[in-house]
Amino acid sequence: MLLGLLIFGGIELSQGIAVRQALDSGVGASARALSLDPSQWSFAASLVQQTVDQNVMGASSPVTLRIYDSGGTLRSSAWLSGSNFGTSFTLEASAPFDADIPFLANAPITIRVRHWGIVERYP
Amino acid sequence: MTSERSAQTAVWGLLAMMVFIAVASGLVDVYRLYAARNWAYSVAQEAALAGTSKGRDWASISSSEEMRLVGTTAKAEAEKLVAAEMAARGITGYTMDVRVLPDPTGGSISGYPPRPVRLGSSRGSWSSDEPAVGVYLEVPVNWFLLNRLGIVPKDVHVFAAAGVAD
Repeated sequence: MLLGLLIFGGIELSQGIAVRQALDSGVGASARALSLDPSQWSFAASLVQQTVDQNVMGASSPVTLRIYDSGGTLRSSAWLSGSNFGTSFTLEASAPFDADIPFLANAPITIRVRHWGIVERYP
Repeated sequence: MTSERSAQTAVWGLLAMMVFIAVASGLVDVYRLYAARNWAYSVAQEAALAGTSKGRDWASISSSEEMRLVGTTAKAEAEKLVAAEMAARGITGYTMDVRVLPDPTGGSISGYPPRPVRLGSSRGSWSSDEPAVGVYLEVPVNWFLLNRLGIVPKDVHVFAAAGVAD
């Protein structure tokens, strides 16, 4: 029983780590892309989703992308698109993850990753 | 005879359980180290970008048509971002060393970062051919198992730099 817990728990933990790693990598790249061209929201969302879909453990999750201003207020993609040079923002991506481990109750969690960015598009 | 075998099985079972727990704890520690290193790298990169972006000397463009950095502003902005990220994670006891090369042609700082990091051919001696900000961080890592074994080091050391290209 203990061996089963360790093996399946390890596999599920690895999947969670892989999703988080992919999310981190994708959000970092997307934040940089949005810094250079804030109007590319759909490209950024697609980039993060594709990075998560192609993670090494193959566990795919739907990704939600959110943008916050420097004060931590939730904003829209339109706000970012119209932001001036030097505007700071935080890009957050979240993905649900449900570890399925035998003998243990399922405890769905949400993996969240945030990256900071600054608009560097010249007017 | 049967009771001797049962006792042996119990001992082996206990030993196996301890080994499994030790292996699982060790793996958790390796992941914590890996995750902490990745996170610290992203903080250093973002801080260097913040310093470079917000520290631009626009007056220099007007007067000499060359991009420079305002050293104090660039350093303060980078440090502000690092402090905010550390506070958001509740990390204390970290070390930060931010340096700025404000001149249009960059420059070099020997002995920085204080520990050799991967920087191509200039290990431990930072140089740039454009105005740039370098951020070096030492972040403590809380071990799960290795703390109990007294294994050091317990910090991750990272360095990132960002420059302004003409």
